[in-house]
Amino acid sequence: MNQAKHYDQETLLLYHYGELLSAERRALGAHLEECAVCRQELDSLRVTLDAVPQVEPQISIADRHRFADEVVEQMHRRQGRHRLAWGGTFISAALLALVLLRPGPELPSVTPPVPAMAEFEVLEKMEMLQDLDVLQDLDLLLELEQLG
Amino acid sequence: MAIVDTLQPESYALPMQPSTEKILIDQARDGRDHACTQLVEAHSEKIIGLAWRLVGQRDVAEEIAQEAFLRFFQSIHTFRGESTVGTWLYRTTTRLAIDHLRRERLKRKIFFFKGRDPDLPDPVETYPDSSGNPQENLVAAETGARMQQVLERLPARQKAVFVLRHMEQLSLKEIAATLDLELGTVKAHLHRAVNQFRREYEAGEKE
Repeated sequence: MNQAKHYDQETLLLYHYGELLSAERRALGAHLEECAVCRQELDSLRVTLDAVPQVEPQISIADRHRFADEVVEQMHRRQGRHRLAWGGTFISAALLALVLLRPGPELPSVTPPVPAMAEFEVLEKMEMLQDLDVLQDLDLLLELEQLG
Repeated sequence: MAIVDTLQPESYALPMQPSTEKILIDQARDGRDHACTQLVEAHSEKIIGLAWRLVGQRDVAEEIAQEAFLRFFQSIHTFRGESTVGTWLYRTTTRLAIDHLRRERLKRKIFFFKGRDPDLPDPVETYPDSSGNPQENLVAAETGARMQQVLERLPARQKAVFVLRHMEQLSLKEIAATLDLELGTVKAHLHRAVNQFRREYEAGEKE
C-alpha cells in the first residue's frame, strides 16, 4: 500500500489480534515501518485495549469440589422433579383411561319407538296441509263448478 | 442438536485425555455420580471463568456454569461425541451468558430510574492496584473503572465477541462457530466494541 494511503481502524484491529491472512499481515507490517500515522493509530489502539481490565477468576480446588457437589446434587433434584412430573402424568393418564373404559350405566336406546297409528294419520294430514296451493286451487274449482 | 467441534486444543486446553473423558461420559450415562463429579471438576475452572468474564459477577457466573453442566447431563444420552465436552459446555455457557446479559439489559431499561446500588463498592476502589507511582495508579484505576463500565454497557453479543477474542483468546472463526454468526458479523461486533472503548478512552484523556 502507498504510504500516502492509510489502513482503516478495522484492518489495524484485525492486525493487532493476528486475524489477517499472512500476505495481508506482511503488507501491513511493511507499511507500518514507513507510515507514522498508521503506527500511531495502532499504538493508540493497543494503549486503549491494554486499559481494559482483565478479569482473572480465582477458582481454587476447594471451589471446584464444592461446585461439582452442587451440580450433582442439583442434577438429582431435577431428575426427581422429572420423575415426579412423569409419574403424575402417567397416573393422570391411567385414571382417565379407567374412567373412559369403565362399563357405565345402560344408555337409553337410540332406536326410535314405533309410532302409533293415530300419529300416522296426523302426519298424513299434516303433509296434506303443507300443500296449501293445491287446496286453494280445489276451492276455486268448486266455486267455478257451482257457478256453472 | 449436533455441535461441530470448532475449538482447537490451544483455545480450550483439554483438561483430560479424550479416552478418559469417553469412559466418564459412559459412566455418567449409567448414572454414576463419581463420573459426573469428575467431569464437572475437570471443566469447572474454565467454564466458571468464561461465565465470570462474560457476566462480571462470580455468583451469577456459577449459576450459569451450573446450568450449562445440568443441561449437559440432561442431554448426555443423546451426546454423540461429535464435539468434546469442553466445546459443548463452552458454547452453551456463552449462550446462557448472552441470554442473561440481555435480560439484565432489559431490566435496566425497564427500571431505568433505578440508580446504582449503593451497596456496591466503588469500581475505582476495587480496581487492582498495580503498585508504583500513586498518582499513576489512581489514573490507571480511574481509566480501568471507566473501561469496565464500557464493557458492562456493551450490548450482549458485542460484549461476548469482545470477551471471547480479547480475554479468552478465541479466533474470530471460533467465535463465529460458538455464537453461530457469520465471520463478517463477528468482525463488525468486535470493531464496534473496540470503538466504544476508544471513545471512552479518548474522552478520559481530554478531561
